[in-house]
Amino acid sequence: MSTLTGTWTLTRFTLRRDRFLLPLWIILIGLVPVALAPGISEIWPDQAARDNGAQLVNHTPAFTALMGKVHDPSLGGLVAWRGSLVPLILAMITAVTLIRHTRTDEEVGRRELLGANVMGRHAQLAAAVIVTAAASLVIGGLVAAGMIGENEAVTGSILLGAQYAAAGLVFAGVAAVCAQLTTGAGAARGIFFIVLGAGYLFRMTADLNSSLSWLRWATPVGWLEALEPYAANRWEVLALLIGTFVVLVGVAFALQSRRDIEAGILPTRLGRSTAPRSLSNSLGLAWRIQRAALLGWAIGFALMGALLGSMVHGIKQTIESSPVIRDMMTAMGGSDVLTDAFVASMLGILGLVASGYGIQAIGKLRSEETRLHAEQTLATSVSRWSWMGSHLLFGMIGSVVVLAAGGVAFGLTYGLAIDDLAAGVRDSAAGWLIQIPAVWVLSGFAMLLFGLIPKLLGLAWVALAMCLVCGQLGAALRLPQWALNLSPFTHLPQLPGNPMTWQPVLWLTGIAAVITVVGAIGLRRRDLG
Amino acid sequence: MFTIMEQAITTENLTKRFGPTHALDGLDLAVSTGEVHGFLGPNGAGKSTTIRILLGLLRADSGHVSLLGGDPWHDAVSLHRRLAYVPGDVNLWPSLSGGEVIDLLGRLRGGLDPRRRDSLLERFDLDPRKKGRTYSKGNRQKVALVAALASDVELLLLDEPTAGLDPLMEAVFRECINEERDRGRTVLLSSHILSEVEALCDRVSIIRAGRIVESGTLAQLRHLTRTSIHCEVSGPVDDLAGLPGVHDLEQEGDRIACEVDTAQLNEVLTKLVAAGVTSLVSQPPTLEELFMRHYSDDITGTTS
Repeated sequence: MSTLTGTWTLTRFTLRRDRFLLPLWIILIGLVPVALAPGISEIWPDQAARDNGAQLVNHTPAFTALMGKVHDPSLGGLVAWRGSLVPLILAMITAVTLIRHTRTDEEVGRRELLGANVMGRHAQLAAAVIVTAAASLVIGGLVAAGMIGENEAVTGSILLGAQYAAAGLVFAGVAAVCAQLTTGAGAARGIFFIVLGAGYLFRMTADLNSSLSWLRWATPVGWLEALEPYAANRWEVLALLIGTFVVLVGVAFALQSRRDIEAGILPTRLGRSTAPRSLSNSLGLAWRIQRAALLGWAIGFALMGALLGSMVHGIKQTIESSPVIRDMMTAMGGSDVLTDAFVASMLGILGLVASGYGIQAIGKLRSEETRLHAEQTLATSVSRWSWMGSHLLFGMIGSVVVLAAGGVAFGLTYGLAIDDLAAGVRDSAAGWLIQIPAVWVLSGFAMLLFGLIPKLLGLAWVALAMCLVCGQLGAALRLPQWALNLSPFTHLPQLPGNPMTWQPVLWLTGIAAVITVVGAIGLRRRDLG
Repeated sequence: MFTIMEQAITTENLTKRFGPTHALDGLDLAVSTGEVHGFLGPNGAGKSTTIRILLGLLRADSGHVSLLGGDPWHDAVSLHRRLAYVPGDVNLWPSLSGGEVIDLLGRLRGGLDPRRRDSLLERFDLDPRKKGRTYSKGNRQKVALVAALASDVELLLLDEPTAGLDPLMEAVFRECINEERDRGRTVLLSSHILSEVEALCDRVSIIRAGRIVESGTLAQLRHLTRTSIHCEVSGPVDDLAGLPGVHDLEQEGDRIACEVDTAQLNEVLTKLVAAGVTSLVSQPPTLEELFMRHYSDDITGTTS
C-alpha cells in the first residue's frame, strides 16, 4: 500500500466537509482587488494624482509600515499595494484550514478512525494540501482575471494573481510543517502565527529602514512584496515561493514519516503528580486554560507596539528631510498633526487586534463546553456564574492587559526615540486607553452569542473582520456611513490629536455591559453540552 | 438540614426533547439511599440524558426531579458538594496532568482524602504525572474514577464507568463499589454490561426509549424471566402445552425442552415430577435474558 492510498477519497471528503466555507472565502478573497479598484480611481482619478499619491504613501511611514511601498503608480500597482494585507489574510485562512483538517482531526481521534481503513500514512495531509493549494490557485485565477478585466497590464495582473496564490501555497506549507510539531492543534496554530507575525514585522522593518532592507529576504512575507507586480514583475521570486512550498510540503511528509500517529515531533514532558495550590477553584482552572494564549498575545503585542513606537520619530525626520513632502504635509496640517494621526491609527490597529484576543478568550468557554470539560467542572460545586465569570475575566480584563502591553511598549520606544520617556508613554496612553470600550463591545458580542446561540459564536469573528474592513478598507471601498457606523471603533475619537469626547465611551461601555449580561443570563438558562 | 432521605433520587414523569427526538418520555426513576442502583439500557435509551438532568446540566421539559432532597437545576451548587460524577466519555484537559485533574475536581467538590487518593492510584495502577492528552481511554476513565472515589460524597453518579477498563481494573472497580456500599453511599451505575450490574447492584431499572420499563431487585426481576428446562421423563406428561407460562415447548418421545415463566415454575415441575423425571438440566434466568427480551421488543417494535 502506498503512503498516499486514499488521498483522492479524502480530498473529496475534505471538500464535502468544507462545502460552504470553502467557496465563501474563495469568492470573498478573490474579489477584493476588483472591489478596491473603483475606490482608488475615485481618490486618484488621473496619472498625475496617482504619482503624487504614490509618493505620499512611500514617504508616510504609517502606510509603508502597514502595507509596504507602492512600486508602480498605475491603478494595478495601487490595488496591489492597497490590498497587500489580503494575501496574508489568505495565508491565515489556508493555514487554519490545513491544521483543522490534519492536526485537529488527529488530536480528537478522527484520524485514527480513518487510518484503520485503507488509507496511506500521508493521505490526509496530502488531501489537505491539495484542497488548500487548489483553493489558493482558484483565488489567484480570480484575481488575475478580475484585474485583466479592469484593463490593467496582463503580465502584472497575472503576477498579482500569482502573489495571492503563492501566499496561500507557501503558508499552507508552513502550516503543514507546524501540524507535525505539536500534539495539540492550538499549539500548532500558535507556532504558525508566530512565524507569520515575525515575517510581517521583518517586512515592516525592511520597508521602514533602508539599512535593514535585507530583512525582507528572511521571510516569505517579504518575498511576496518583492514580486512587485506591475513594477519589476520578478518571476524568479515566484519560483522561489513555489520552490519553498514544495520543500515545506516535502519536509512535512518527512516529519510525518518519522513520528507516531497522534504524537508530535516536539517531545511531551511529564507533568506534576499533584495540583499546585493555585489550581483549586474555577479561576485557577481558567488561568491554566487561558494563560498560554494571554502570555503569547501580550508578548506579541509588546513586540508589535515597540516596533511601531520606534517608527514615530522617523516620520518627522522623513517629512522634514524632503522639501516636497514637507510642503505637502504642511498643507495637510503639519508634521505634528501627522505624527499624532500616525500614533492614533497604529494604536487603533492594536485595539482591533486586541479584540481578537477577547473573542478567542471567550471562545474558550465554548470549547470547554463542546469538549465536555465544562460538564465535569459544572458537576462539581462550581456554579455556572463562576465558571463563566472566570473566563469572562480574561475576555474583558485580559484584552485590556494585551492592549496595555502593546500600548505601553509603543510609548516606551516612542519616548526613547524623542529622549523623553514620560512624554512618550503619556502621549500614547490616550490612544490605546480609548480603544477599551470598543474592544469590550466585541468581547461582549462573543458572550452574547455564547449565551444565546452558541453554535453561531463564529459570528463574533465575522464582526471583527467587518470592523477591520470598515476601519482599514472602508474609505477605499466607499462604504456608506451607516455601514461604517456598525463598527464600534468608528465612534471612538482619534486620540492623540483630537479632543476627547466621553459620549461614545459611555455608550459603548453601556452596550458592552448590557450584551454581556444578556449573554450571561442566556447561559444560565440554557442546556449545556 | 441534612435529614436522612429515604430516596436519594426520584424522578416523576420526566420528559426531555431534543428537536424532534424524545430523549426522555415520562421517566420514573427511584433510587433509595444507600443502595447500588443499576441503570440499564441500550445505547441511546436516555441514560446519559437522565444523568445530565440529575446534574442540572440539562433542564427537563416537564416532570419532577428530586436529588438528595433538592432540585438539581436550582440547587446545583449545593447538591454538587454532596455528589461525584464520572462521565461515560472522559475528556481531560490536554495540558493538565492526571494528578492535577484529580486534585482539581476533588477541591472543586470541596476536598478529597489524600490517603485514599494515593491508595486508589496504586490500586488502579495509574501514573498521575502524564498529561491529559497522552492517556489512553481506559486511563482517562481511571483518572475520573479516582477523582470521584477519593471524594467524600454521599452519592456517586457513574455513567458507564468501566467502558474502557481491562478485566483486572474492572475487578478493582467492583471492589471499590462494594466498599462504597459498605460506607453507606448511594451509587447510580449506568451500564450495559450485564455481568457488572448483576455483580454489584441491589436494584436495577431498565430504560428503553426514554421510559423505565422494569424496576426492582434482581430477585424480583428474575421472577419476570424464564427458566429453561431440559429433562427426560419415564412416563407420559399430559397437556404440558396447555399450562400457563410454558413457552417454546419441544417434546420428542420422553425428552422435553421448554422455557417456563419463573412464576409458573412450581406448577410445571409438579407435572413433570408426577410423570417421573429421570434427568433434569435447568438454566437459571439471567438479567441478560430480560434485557434482551426488552431490547428485542424494541427491534420488533421498530420493524413492524
